[in-house]
Amino acid sequence: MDVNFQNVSHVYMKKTPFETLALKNINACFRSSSVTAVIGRTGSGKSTLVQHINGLLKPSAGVVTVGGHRLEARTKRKMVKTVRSHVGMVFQYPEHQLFEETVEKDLLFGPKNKGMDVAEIQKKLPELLQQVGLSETLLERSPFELSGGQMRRVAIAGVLATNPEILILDEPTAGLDPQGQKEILELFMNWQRAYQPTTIMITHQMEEAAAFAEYMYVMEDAEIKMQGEPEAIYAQREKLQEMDLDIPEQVQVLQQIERDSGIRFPHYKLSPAEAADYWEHAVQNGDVPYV
Amino acid sequence: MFENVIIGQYLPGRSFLHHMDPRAKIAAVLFLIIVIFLVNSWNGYALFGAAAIAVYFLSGVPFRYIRKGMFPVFILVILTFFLHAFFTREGDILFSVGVFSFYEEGIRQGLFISLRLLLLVYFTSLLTLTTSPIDLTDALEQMFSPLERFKFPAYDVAMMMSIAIRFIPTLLQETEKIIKAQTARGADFNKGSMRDRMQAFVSLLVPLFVRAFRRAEDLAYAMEARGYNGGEGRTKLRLLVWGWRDTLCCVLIAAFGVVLLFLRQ
Ligand SMILES: Nc1ncnc2c1ncn2[C@@H]1O[C@H](COP(=O)(O)OP(=O)(O)OP(=O)(O)O)[C@@H](O)[C@H]1O
Ligand SMILES: [Mg+2]
Repeated sequence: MDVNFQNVSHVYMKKTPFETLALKNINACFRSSSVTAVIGRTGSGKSTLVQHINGLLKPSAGVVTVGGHRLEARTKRKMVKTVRSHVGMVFQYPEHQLFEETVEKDLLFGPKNKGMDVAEIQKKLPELLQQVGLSETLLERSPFELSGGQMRRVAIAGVLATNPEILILDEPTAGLDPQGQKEILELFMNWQRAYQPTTIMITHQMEEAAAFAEYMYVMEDAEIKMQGEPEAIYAQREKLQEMDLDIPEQVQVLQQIERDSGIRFPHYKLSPAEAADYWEHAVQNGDVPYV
Repeated sequence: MFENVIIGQYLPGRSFLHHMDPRAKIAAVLFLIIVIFLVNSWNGYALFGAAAIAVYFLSGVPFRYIRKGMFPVFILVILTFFLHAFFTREGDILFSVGVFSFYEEGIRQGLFISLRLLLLVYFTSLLTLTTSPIDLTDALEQMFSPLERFKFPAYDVAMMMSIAIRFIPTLLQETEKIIKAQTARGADFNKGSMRDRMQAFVSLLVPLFVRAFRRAEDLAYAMEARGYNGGEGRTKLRLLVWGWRDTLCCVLIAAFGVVLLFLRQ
């Protein structure tokens, strides 16, 4: 499903002294089955942006189009619900949304609400748990006796259980150690490859965006300040630094090698070993002088 | 979702009223509440009305906030008015509608009681609109501290109040967040069968309580770890300062009370 923003603005607490313009005339497009990252410093409007996609927020002005459905300021609730049933959203600290007596019941909460075939999904739950890195023996346990990391995985599984066509990740790795962050990201990458949902990922860490996204939006002060493929974004280092965003170390290293030797890497997602291989090939072919 | 909830109804500002000592404001409001029950003449209410308008200009609060705050009471006011108008049978008959006759005294009583209610709510809402909740609790603590001699735990009550007030915005935020998360999972809090809606509310309340208890525990540990042991000998970071405005206000209000006494019939 495609998602399109046309001149979307959003104002919080309209007509009070606390009025905040959180989105200013946003135009953006998220292609079907693609992975897009939205980055920007805290308070720049990222969460506000994505909450328009499943109608948690309505635009103050402009239109959001989700797979042919138009969401506007005066869109009816029923329509919003239809759109919502195609969208899965993982929030920051998703483990706070667990509430059922058993993991199994919690996983079925979403599918039940969205009117899906619960019996069918129930059969697939062991597989789903495995996909998020948990053992199926947890199904009968209470979500509140699990460890923090397990709780987060259960919550994520609860969103994935509906197999959404659009998957929104609002900093799902917040508060995890680097190893945990990597594992959760990999989990989403594998899911994306297998089921191909349109994925929109918010982060304020460039590393995460770099590893995953095909396209990037950079937000600042309620506006989209930069957009493009990660490579194009990384090339504009100064502009990024103005927004307190750092290019991932790995990309910095590859860029430095490019500058020093004149080699051009195909993309910056190369692991160090892959980069070394590429380098060796290039030297053997005589494309770059040996330094 | 809670965009229109203004917490504690406090509106930050820099008006005359905002700069006043909360103790003076509380005392003034208490005094006004008492004297308003002494007023029994049109002149008295006219004077009270004039005072209300003057205070409005001193408060710098936009009118629509006051209107919004007063709206719920309006229904009560209208109800009381009609109760009095219907059931008081004194004085001359003013006019009749069908079997109902409206007596002069009934209308008068109805109007007086309604005005009393309105003014009461008006002054108390101005108090909360111009005083931050923390200032209010500080002031209440000081005003109640003489009662500590009679074993009234003024300090602890004030501490509890300020903790509760401190966590209202946090709880509201949390509520909004969980509502959003469950809504994204397809829960519907407004429509649907009774069963579905119950389920939706459970999905909100359970996480909310779990988090609230956890937070209370964390806070208790944090306070203990920093050596908190009650109010004994504790000094304050924020001192209440009594200024010229406050003295002026007290003098004016006392004079106001005296004039009202003379206007009594
Ligand atoms: N419910 C709300 N009510 C009022 N203002 C809000 C609300 N939510 C967000 N805002 C304001 O809107 C702006 C954008 O907030 P948003 O949550 O979209 O930022 P963000 O980019 O997601 O930040 P973070 O990285 O911290 O999650 C901020 O200035 C914030 O204060
Ligand atoms: Mg956010």
